[in-house]
Amino acid sequence: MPLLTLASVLALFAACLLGSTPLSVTTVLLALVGQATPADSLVVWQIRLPRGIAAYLVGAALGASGAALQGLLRNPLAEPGVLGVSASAALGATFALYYGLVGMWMWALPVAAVLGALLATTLVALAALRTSSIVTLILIGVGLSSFAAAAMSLLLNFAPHPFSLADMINWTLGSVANRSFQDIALVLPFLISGLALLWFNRRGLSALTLGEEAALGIGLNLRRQRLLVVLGAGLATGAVVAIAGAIGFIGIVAPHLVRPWVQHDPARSLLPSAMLAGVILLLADIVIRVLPTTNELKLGVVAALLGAPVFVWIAYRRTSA
Amino acid sequence: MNPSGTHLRATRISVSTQQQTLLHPSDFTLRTGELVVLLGPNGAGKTTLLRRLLGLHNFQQRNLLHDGQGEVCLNEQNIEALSPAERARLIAYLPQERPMAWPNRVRDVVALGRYAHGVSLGNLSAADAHAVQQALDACQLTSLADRRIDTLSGGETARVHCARVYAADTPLLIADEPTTSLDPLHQHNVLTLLRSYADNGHGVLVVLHDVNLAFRYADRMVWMQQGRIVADEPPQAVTEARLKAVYGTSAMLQSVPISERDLNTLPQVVFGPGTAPGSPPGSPRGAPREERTEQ
Repeated sequence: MPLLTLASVLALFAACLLGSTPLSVTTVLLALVGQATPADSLVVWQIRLPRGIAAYLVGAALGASGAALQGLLRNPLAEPGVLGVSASAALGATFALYYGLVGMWMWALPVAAVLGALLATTLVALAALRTSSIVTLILIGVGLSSFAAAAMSLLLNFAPHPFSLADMINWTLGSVANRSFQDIALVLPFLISGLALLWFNRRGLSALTLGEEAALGIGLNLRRQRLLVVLGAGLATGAVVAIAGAIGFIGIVAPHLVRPWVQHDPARSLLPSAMLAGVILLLADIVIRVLPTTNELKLGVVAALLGAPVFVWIAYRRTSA
Repeated sequence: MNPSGTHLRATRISVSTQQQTLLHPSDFTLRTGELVVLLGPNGAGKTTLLRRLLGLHNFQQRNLLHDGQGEVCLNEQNIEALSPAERARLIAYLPQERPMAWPNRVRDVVALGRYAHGVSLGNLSAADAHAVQQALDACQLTSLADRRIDTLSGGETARVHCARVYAADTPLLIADEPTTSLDPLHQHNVLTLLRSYADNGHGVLVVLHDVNLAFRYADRMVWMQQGRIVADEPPQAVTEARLKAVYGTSAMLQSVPISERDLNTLPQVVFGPGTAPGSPPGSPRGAPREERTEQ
């Protein structure tokens, strides 16, 4: 845990340090305390730090949501991206953006994204009541994702506001480029309430390891637990999708790495999963920025490159077990 | 917690689906200080009764209807009016199905038994840690306490779950087939543990398929058949007719000494092939050639 805190701070610092304009360590330190030249301060405070914090928060929310959904559904393959929650949130966000709702009401973007996420999370949780098969849940997630992507392209085709293909790609693949502190502040209330819900209901996730009947037997209020975790994961995922679009798989990788260190207890995996996912996504974003490509890679692409093989690996291991 | 005086009383409880009645209106009482064994053939409604007693009967099947007149009272209070945590501090429940989602450590699984007392894994209060250690000792799991549960044998896993309900230290305890997959030594260990739990003033209700274990340890034997409680009697009152009627087998009751030292007798049954309708075709009727004990 102290190690993860240290890694988080170091990664954030590295995010300020590295980039197209070379800055020295001392310059960055001076800029952070407000003692550097205006130009250097601008680079650090207006460009690199908000982008870094955005990447970290997006990762943290997805990591925590992934760990919580895995605990709730009792399955290591559950994750906002795989279950179609991110895609549905992105659908909500694009609807709010390109149909002018954002101009009418400034909270429209995060609210629409959160509603999209909640709708998908509720559907998945309802399905989880009827079946214990994770295959069914993932198929529902695939269906939701495909449907959300199709609906999004349909919406954009009919959108009264101009859009570019790049916008569409940003929302489906995810990116934190050019995010400002205002963007973050806008979703922060939703993000914080979502993460708080997950945090304060983490004990029930431990109980669910015994199976639902035994969890009821030891005094878990299962209905309430389901409702609040679904709400928490929906709020947190919706909030970060409103910042960065749909970024998949990160919510699987981080909890998977964390689990052996916390005796496989979903409750104790929550915070470390969030921090590790934050660090991973932040590092991935730094790699994207320093890679000498003409068009910047999308963050979601890197996350999927890292995460999808882990997903396949876990799925493969489970079928052979 | 002072368990004395806690009691569970069910009056005319029933459970039914649209198609069939799973539990016909039944009365049932469990008091502290007694060990009650619930017996009956597969599908007789034993688990349904346990779930209805706990108010958990519709946790997975939402199309269940239950008779509005039926009521389960825990200390004169309707059990469905209690919060899950309040109920769990009075009754511990060990279900028949115990699917583990994660390969947790044995000590953590046992600690979950104290969930209703507010346990957070990895951060136990002194009282909780003490109860967990006692449960581990009582179920001879101390040497396995830090093992992952997926590395244990079936019998060891069953003992971990027994330790979990034991750690809850509730006035009443309900266990659905706690001895399944245990060897004879550990079956007797579990029943001895439950017996002393009852003698210390707790109330225990346990489902068993081994009638002879029940004869040895039970205060009352409750028989179920086709969704009905057909008898509630002390072990000494059980007749061959009862066994034959409930299980559809032939049955021969004997008296055997309790142990090499204690020559007081205790009933023992030897079952044979079925004589009731529904037994496999061609099975011998009447004089059985070779009888097997149920184990």
